[in-house]
Amino acid sequence: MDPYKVLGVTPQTSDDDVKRAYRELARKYHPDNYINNPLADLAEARMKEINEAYDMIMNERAGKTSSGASGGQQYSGGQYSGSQQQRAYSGANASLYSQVRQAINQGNLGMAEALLQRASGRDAEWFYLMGTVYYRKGWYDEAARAYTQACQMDPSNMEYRTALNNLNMSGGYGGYRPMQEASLCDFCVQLAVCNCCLNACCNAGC
Amino acid sequence: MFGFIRPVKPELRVKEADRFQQVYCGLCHAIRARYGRFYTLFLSYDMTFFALVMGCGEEQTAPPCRKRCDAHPVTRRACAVPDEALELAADVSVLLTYHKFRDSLADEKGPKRALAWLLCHLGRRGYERARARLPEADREMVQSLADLQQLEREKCDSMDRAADASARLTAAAVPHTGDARERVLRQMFYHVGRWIYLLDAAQDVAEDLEQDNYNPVALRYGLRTPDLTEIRQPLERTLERSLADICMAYDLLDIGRDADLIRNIIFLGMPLVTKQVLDGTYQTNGGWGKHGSL
Repeated sequence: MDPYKVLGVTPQTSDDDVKRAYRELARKYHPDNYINNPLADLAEARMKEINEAYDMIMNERAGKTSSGASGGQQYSGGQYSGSQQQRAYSGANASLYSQVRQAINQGNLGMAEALLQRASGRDAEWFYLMGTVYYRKGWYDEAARAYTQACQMDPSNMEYRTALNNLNMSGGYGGYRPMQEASLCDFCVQLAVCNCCLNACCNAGC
Repeated sequence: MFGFIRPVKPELRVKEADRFQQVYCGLCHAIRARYGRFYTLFLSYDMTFFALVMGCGEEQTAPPCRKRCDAHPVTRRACAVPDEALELAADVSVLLTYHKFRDSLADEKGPKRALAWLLCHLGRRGYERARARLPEADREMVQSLADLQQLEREKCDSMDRAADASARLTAAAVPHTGDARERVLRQMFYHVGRWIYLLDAAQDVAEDLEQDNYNPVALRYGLRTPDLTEIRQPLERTLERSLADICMAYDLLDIGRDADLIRNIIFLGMPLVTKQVLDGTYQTNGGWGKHGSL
């Protein structure tokens, strides 16, 4: 691996510019952008490569030979891969819902969907899990409907609300919103920003 | 000369605009060389984009050749030299065009149906040849089209379910190579297909309501009038998600050439067309059947 090629810089590039290039790439491939995306594993691999390249360059420049401890300001991949949190269930569908979460985490959407069809009764959790299956498949309209339903049935659940907010925010993409460049609709942008802030507050709050 | 997928020309560099035209002309010549004049009449900008993306892994661009054609009989125009990606795009273009005729034959009534029958008849031989080249892709396309027609008959009111069949049809154009690149390209063209299908449905709401045709957008939101203002925001949001997925897949591709041109199309062209269709200004900005900005 040529670390300079990975970061798109040359051996002559200054430290600051290498850092800038690294940050730019890390923002792009950050695992948060690929939550619920079927290509999350590829983005994670890319992120790892970028981290390694950055390490190699910085170590080389610092005159070190071994690639051991490096600057602690790296973005880490791995722990985020959009996996569902485990939670304790009770009630009629308890074991079923755990199985569904497991299937979703393994990327086995067909099985998750089949399991959900077998559930007795449809509560908020059912709609949330169904929404997540749709989300992974790229069926965003159905996902929004299911998440909205889950939020209406259980308005106090933060997991449902966060999922709906993420969906409505175009899931990050380093803050990229394709339509923003095409339309000068500032109102939407403001809404998105508000949404962002709310999200941050809520997440910090719980 | 139709298709939603086009670059925003004022933002292109001259060499990129030239390259786009060369690929467009090169694709037309590749289709003509393999399948005759008939299929060149249905060449779209969408397929030019497909050719660009499929070829973007190459490092080198061969210098263009100059050729005459029916549309430009006097001057020779610069054309991209046919390579693997361009030939694949030519084959896929024939398959998709033929399936479009088949779809119209199943949907339409009256004179349009007669026209679709005629086109199917004329295109049959070319299609057989393309199918022999890409048997697997064709099998997937036939299956998706059958699913789509079934959903249309059932008057399916889930936009995503109908769009899924159409998106699988587009994704089928990506050849099976079994590597990460195939996964990325399939994801990318799945969402390209979803975006085109939903945008097309949004564009046709007025016509479909008038003629009482199947329209997933109208059914999903229970529209009685062709006014899109009410549903603009949720529709834009769901389309935007597909665009974001296209971008994120694109970022994972190893790009050797045409990076800026493809970026222009994905990051500027497609959002612009989305906005125009939802505003109802698409027709006045060129629209179908016109050269538009190019």
